[in-house]
Amino acid sequence: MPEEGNDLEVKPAAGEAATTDAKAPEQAQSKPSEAATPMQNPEDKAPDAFEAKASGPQETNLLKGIVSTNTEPEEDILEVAPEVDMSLLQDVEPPKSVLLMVLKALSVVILVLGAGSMLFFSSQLSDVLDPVTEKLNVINASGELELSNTEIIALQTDLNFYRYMRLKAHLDRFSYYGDSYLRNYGIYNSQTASAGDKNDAEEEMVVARDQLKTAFTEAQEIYRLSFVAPIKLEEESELQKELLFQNELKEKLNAKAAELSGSADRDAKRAVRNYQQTAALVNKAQVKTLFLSTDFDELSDEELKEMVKKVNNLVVNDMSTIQKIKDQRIKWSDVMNEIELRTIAVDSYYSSGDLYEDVGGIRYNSYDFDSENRSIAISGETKLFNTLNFSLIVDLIDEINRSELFENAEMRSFTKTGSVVEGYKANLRLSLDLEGAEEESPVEDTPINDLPDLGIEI
Amino acid sequence: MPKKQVTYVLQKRKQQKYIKGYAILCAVLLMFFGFYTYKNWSTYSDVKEAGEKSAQYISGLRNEVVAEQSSYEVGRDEFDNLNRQIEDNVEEIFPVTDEYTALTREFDDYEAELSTRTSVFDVASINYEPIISAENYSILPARLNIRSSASNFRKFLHLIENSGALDGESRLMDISSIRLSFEQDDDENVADEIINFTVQINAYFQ
Repeated sequence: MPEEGNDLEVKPAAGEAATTDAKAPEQAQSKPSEAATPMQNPEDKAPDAFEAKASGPQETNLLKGIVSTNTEPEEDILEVAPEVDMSLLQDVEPPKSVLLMVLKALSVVILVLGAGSMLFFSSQLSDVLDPVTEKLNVINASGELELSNTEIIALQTDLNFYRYMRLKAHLDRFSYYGDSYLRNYGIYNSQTASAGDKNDAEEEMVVARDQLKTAFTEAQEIYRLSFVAPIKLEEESELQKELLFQNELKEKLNAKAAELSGSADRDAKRAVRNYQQTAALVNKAQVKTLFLSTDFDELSDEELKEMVKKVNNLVVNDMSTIQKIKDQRIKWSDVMNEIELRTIAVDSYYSSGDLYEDVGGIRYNSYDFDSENRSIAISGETKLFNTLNFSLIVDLIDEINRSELFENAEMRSFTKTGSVVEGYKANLRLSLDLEGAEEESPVEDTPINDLPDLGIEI
Repeated sequence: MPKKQVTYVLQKRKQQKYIKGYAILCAVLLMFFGFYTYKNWSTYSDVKEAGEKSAQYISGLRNEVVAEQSSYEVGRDEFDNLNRQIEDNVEEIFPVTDEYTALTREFDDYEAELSTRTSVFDVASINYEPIISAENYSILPARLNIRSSASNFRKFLHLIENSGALDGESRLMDISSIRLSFEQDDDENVADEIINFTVQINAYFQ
C-alpha cells in the first residue's frame, strides 16, 4: 500500500552514501542533527560543495580529511533510536472489512430466504412436498384449488345432466308435435285434399303450433344457460373448457346408460335409449344455434315447417328414422294433379272426359311412377279433327317442362293415323323426371344410414 | 517493495476481491430469488384468489343443482309419459318385425272405409315380396292390384302419403311405383271413371 509504504520508507540525506536497509531507521533518527550542521555553518558548507564539484575526487577526499580533523566529535543529542522488530510485521493483516462482513451476512440471508421461498412455493404450488406437508397439516393452495375444480366440474356436470335431460324431453315434444304439424301442413297445402280435410288440418296446425311454441320456448331457455363453470385451468380457452364439460356430461350419461343396459325391464330400456340419445345431443352445437337464433313468433307456417324439419335432421330420437323416411316420400297425388293441370293448359276439355270422342283432346291410358328413380312414364293418345296432333303433343311436353315439379319431359317418336272425318289419333308416350330431387330431400344432409339403431323391442 | 509489504498488499487486494465477489453473489442471488419469488407469488396469489372464488361458487352451484334436480323431477312424470306414448306409437307405425298380418288387416280396413256402392274400391290381390334390409330399418314390399274409382284412388294415395303419423295408428308406408290404366265403364251408377292400378307399397319396420 502506498501510504503504508511511505510510513516505513526512509530517504537518505543529500550527499550521503546509501545505507543498508537495517540502518535506515537510525539514519532517519539522526537526520535532524545532520541537517542542523550545515545550518550552523552555512558559509563553510556552501564553498565546499562548489569546490568539490569543481576540483574532482582528489580535492573531495582532502576536504573530507580537513572536515574530519577540524570537526569536534559529535555529541548525542537524542537517544539511540529504537529498533523496529520487523518480525512483528509478519503477522500484520489488513483490518477486517465491515463491508465484506455485511455482504457475507447478506448473501447468507438471501440464500436462506430464497430457500424458504422455494420451499414455500413448492409446498403451495406443486405436489413435490406433499408427503411432508401432509404430515405437517400444511394446506397446499394448488391442491386445494384442484380439489375445488374437481368439485365444481362434478357439480356443473350434475347441473348439465338435469338440464340436458329436460332439454331432450322438450326436443322430443317438439318432434312429436312437429310430426303432427308437418302432416297437417301437407294436407292444408295439398292440391288434391278436400276443403273439409284442409279445414281440419288448419285447426290441427293451430293446436300443434301452440305445443311447438311451448316446447321451443322451454328448450330455448335451457340453451340460454351456461353449461361451463368458471374454473381455473392450465388451458384457459373457453372452447377447451366447453369440451371438458361436454365430455364429462357424455361420460355421465353413458355411465347411466351402462348401469341399466343389462336390464330386461321395458322402462329401463327406454331410459337407456333416452340417456344415449341425450348423449348424442350434447355436441350438437347446430341445434343450440338454431334455437337461439330463431324468433318463434316471427315464423310463418312454411318457416315453421322448415324449422321442424331442421330439428328432426339434427336431433336423434325415436322419431328420427321415421321422419327421414317421411321426408323421402313422394306425394304422388300432387304429382298426378300437376300433370292434369298441365294437360288442361293445352287441352281445355281434358277434365270433361266425356267429350274426348266428340271433340278430341288428350286421354291417358296409364301412368308408371317409379319413386326409386324418381321418373314417370305416361302413355295415352291424342285425337284431333285436324292434323295438328304432333303440335298438341309437343305443346304438352313444353308445358310439363315449365312445371317446377318436372324436368326432362320428352317424346322422340311420333305416329298418327286417321282422317279429317274420323279424326286423327296419335300415340302418346311421355317420359319425365321429378325435378329438384336433391334439394327436396333433406336426407342429403344426414344420410339415413348414419342414424343410430333405435333398438326398440316389444 | 519489501516482502512483508507485498503480503499485506496481496491480502488487502484479496479482501477487495472478496468484497466484489460477495457483492456480485448477493446481486445474482437477489435477482434469481427475487424473480423466482415474484413469479411464483403472482401464481400463488392467483391460485389463492381462485380458490376463494371457487369456494363461494361451489356453495351457489350446490343450490343450483338441487333446484335443477327438483325441476327435472317435477316434470319427469310428464316427460316419461310422453316418451311412453311416443314409444307406443312408434311401435305401432314402425314395428320391430314385418307384422304383415296387421298390415293385411290395415289394407282391408282401407277397403272397407273407401268402398261404397257408388264409388268402388276393390283390393283384388296383395302379394308380399321378400324383405329388403337397410342399415337401420327394413322394408316389406307389397304389390296390390286395385280397382278403384278416381276419387277413391286419390283418397288411397292420401292415406299412404300420410301414413305413419305419430298420433295415428297407420303403418309407415310409401309408394315405390304405380301403374294405372283407365277402364271404360258404361255403368251409370258409377259416378267417376274406374282406374285399375297396380301399386307397389313399401311398409317399413325396424
